[in-house]
Amino acid sequence: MRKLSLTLTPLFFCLPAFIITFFILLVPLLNTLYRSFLKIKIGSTEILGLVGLGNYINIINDSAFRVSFLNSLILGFAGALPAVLVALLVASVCNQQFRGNRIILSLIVAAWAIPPIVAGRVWKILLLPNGLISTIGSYLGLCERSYSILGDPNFALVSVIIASIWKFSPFATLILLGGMRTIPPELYEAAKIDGATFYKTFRHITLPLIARYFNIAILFVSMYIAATVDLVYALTGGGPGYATEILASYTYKVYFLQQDFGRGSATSIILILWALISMGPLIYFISKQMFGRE
Amino acid sequence: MRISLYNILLLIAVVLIVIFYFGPVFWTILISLKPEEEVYSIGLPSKFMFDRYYKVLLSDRFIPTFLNSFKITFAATPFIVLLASPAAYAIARFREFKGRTGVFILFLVLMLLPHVAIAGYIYSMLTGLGLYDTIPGVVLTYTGLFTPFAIWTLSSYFRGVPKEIEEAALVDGASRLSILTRVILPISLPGIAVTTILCFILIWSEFLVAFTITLTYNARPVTIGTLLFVGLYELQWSEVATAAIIATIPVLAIAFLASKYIIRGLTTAVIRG
Amino acid sequence: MGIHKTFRLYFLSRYSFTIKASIKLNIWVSLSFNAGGVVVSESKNIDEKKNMLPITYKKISRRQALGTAGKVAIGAIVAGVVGAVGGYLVGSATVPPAKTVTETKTVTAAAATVTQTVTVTKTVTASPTPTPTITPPTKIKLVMTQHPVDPNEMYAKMAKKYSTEVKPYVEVEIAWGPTGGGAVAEYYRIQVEAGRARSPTLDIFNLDVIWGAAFNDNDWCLDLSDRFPPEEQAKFIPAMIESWTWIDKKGHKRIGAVPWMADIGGMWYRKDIVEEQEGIKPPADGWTWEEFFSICVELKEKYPDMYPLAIDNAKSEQLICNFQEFLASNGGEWFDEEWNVLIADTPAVEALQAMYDMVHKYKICHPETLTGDLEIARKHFTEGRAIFHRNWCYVWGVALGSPVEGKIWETLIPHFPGYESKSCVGGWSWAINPGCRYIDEAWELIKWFTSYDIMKELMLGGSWLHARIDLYKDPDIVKMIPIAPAYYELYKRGTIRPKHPEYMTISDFAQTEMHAALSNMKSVEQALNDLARKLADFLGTKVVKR
Repeated sequence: MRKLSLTLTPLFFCLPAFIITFFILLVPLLNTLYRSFLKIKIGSTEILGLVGLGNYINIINDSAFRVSFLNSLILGFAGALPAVLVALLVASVCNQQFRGNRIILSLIVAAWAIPPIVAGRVWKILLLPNGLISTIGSYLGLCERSYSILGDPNFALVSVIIASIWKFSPFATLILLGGMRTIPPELYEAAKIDGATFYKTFRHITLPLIARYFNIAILFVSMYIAATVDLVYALTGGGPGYATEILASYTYKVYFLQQDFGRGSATSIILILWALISMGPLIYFISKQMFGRE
Repeated sequence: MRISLYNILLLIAVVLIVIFYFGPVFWTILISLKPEEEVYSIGLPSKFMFDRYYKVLLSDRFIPTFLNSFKITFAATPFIVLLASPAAYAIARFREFKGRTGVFILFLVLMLLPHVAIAGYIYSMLTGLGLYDTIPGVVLTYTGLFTPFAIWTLSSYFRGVPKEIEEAALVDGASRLSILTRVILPISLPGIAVTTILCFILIWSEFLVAFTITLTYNARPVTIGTLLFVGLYELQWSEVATAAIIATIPVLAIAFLASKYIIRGLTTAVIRG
Repeated sequence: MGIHKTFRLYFLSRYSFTIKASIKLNIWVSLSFNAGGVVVSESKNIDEKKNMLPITYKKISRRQALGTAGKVAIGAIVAGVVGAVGGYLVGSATVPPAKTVTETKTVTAAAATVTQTVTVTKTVTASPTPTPTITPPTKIKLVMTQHPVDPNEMYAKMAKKYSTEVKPYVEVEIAWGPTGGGAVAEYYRIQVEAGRARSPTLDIFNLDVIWGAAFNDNDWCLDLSDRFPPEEQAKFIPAMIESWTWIDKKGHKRIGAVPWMADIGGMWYRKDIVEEQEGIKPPADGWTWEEFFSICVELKEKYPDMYPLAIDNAKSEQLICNFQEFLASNGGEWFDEEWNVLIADTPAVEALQAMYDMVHKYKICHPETLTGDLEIARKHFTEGRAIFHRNWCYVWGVALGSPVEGKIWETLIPHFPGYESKSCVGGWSWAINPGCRYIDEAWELIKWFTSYDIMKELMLGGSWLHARIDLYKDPDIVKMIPIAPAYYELYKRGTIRPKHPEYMTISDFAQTEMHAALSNMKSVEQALNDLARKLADFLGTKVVKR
């Protein structure tokens, strides 16, 4: 076996993984790209012909698409980054020494484990008029008891953002917490001897040492937020009008609810491009970390 | 316990965190115990319907999906690890693998593709192959979808194996393949365990793709099973909540028991890359 | 310019700094933390080169190596492509075997608790060579899809009865198909293709009315016009017949299915409050919308802790059903004969404006009207918190055992002055797979199932409501379901949603725009204009205002 040319062995090692991902991921990707240039009737029987960019133009002209794109941007910045910051806060809390440490962690993981469909529905029940949140709001004097939070386009979007943070920050918490646990405690003790406050410790010891975890956390949270359809649909169904559509839910809508495979494929391609572009810099940083200078 | 600013802040933070994260979970449990008419009201249940858990567990609508989930997850996860290990090893350790970076980036990108974008064509593909609504079809799909993630995680573990051991094995005349099976895998068993656990959790809670490629109790996993509690006319949300809690228990159990390992796993995955 | 748009611009202008700052922060954070990470944890940094294993090379020339590698790579790619394509082509000739699901439901008397036992058995795929003539001793099997809910397992009983009493050589199996959303059309298209390939696994389809146009136009259901003459058609609910009638590409009129389960919208109300306490009697041809709204406003003041009207206007198909009733009761249409778009025309604008006023001007709806769903509205009514309620027929069954049992009745949907009251029709119908091998037998089965006596037996056994109009004047039925005469009046005034093969897309466009108008994101005219333009672009026709 040693005599076999070793430049081929890595390829052989990767071959099974290549084959399966080729089959399940690449072939659909290419076919979706192909289909996005066709006009397909319902039930994908007749391919009515190549319309080139016609599907894309149709999609871009749709105001619902434009709003969903904007919402995806908003969710990406106002959702992913705060999610990681919240996760940072939570992780630093969990890292402190106190009783019930692990229980808190389990509670947080419980939030992650509930199927998004049910979680979205429960959030919706909480946010209905005369529901829990509007009742609390009425006690605080913010709104009437029967105020419809989900009926207002802006508050509906805020609800989606908060629900997404709630759902996806636990994963980031786990990553950051793990990072914090790798910091040797001697550093903290040394800092305490030197009389550093909590804030200084945090800023100068904790943060730099979990730097690389930040990237991964943002990457994963962005990916989950970009790809999640069920949470949004269970919570608002696209919102009043189309105010809370995001690219992923819009894709689902066109592909599966309107059953238009041509336009749906076009939307899918746009979604994939957006995902790649928005996560591109992070991918670059991560691969640089992995393989040194390149 | 000193009453210091630090302690007060910590307490406030803990309380807020518990309310925020556990609140909706608590509400789901509450809904699962309420009578159906009170699902939307905000008070406590007038009577606690614990027998609903028995009813749901014993109902013939739920158990098949639960079993399907077990079958699918326990079939897909070993496959994934099996396929991902050689590829991860090649990426991690083969210095002469010139296309290493490119392949790594390729798998990373494939890992980040939104499932919703390709679910449609996967549906057509599986239907053409006759695998629609079958467990092998679902297992095949999940293997393809989650292998890049496993490759990424595993490659970081493999790089943590001390290279002296591998060098020794090479000097002794072992082939790369046997190095993988006899040296690397046993040493990085914790890493493989972590990958398995993470894949388990991800596959168990997957909804969208499963919804697209399954139709009947032949292959529907438990995430969809929670939504099948249609009463005569409408969805019985109290039963759905009960089913959701029951469906979450395996994930919670594994996450809780293995949380130490998971955190360590995600850490190592990042430390090495 | 709706509030939403203004907010967007305001948000962007006000928070553009924040957005830009966050982008910069993101990049800065990654950069600095990377730098910091490298600097601080250099001791932990793994030297790439040192961590690699020594390379052991065999001495082969570069050209040989490249050649072999290239050949292997090309071979693998070609094999992969051929395998995938071949698998796809071969696979499309085989069809997933139909899964048989017999669903049994037992309805306990008072409460609506339902236990369901599901047995799943695999069907035996029939032999691929068809026998053209059936002589009675040969056993055949017919597979029909069914609505997933089978109250009191009446359908299963009837299917068995057919096999045992009527035609012993026919075995009827009930399968379970997708009922909505998902890829319904694709699922049934595959069954049709299997039929054309002479190995169908599904013979009879059970389809919602909205699929009428799509299935007829694509020839996914058999043309039944020679077996189902107009005299027979007249005995069923007219609107359901209309939704399955189609003029195909050759100009030939065809009917694709036989109506089976019926459902229609009506205005439920609390008889004890409206008639007895207030003395208001619903007129025989329904109120006008103005009258109805003023009654609701009056009742709102007299009964402050009840909602005058519980109607579901959330963004779903239900919204289109509601709108259809408003539109048709104003004499309006969605499209003309050439599919030009009429939805921006005056009748539609008035209709949507009436809906908007109902929610925002008169404020007579329950608070979750735009964000909740149908069951929330229904719960308000059957738990005694609402006076009027627009819903389908099942409310009667649900009300048994609820606080409002015996106190409710149903009347016509209101209408605009000068026009008739209209009710949106739902329901399910039987269609035959064009590739079915035993078309005559399938037709006999359908004919038997949809005969008057069998439908009556099903209804008396507690099953759904069925589609023959005369059933609702039958004394036995009226005894068991006292509200049947009200249903009869509604069925006479059915209206259907747009009958176009691409109805799913039309509905989705309409839901989005109309809900945006009702949620104060756009004005009513703006929403309908946008919708008209979208539809015209999609269908390739024009917007017309008469």
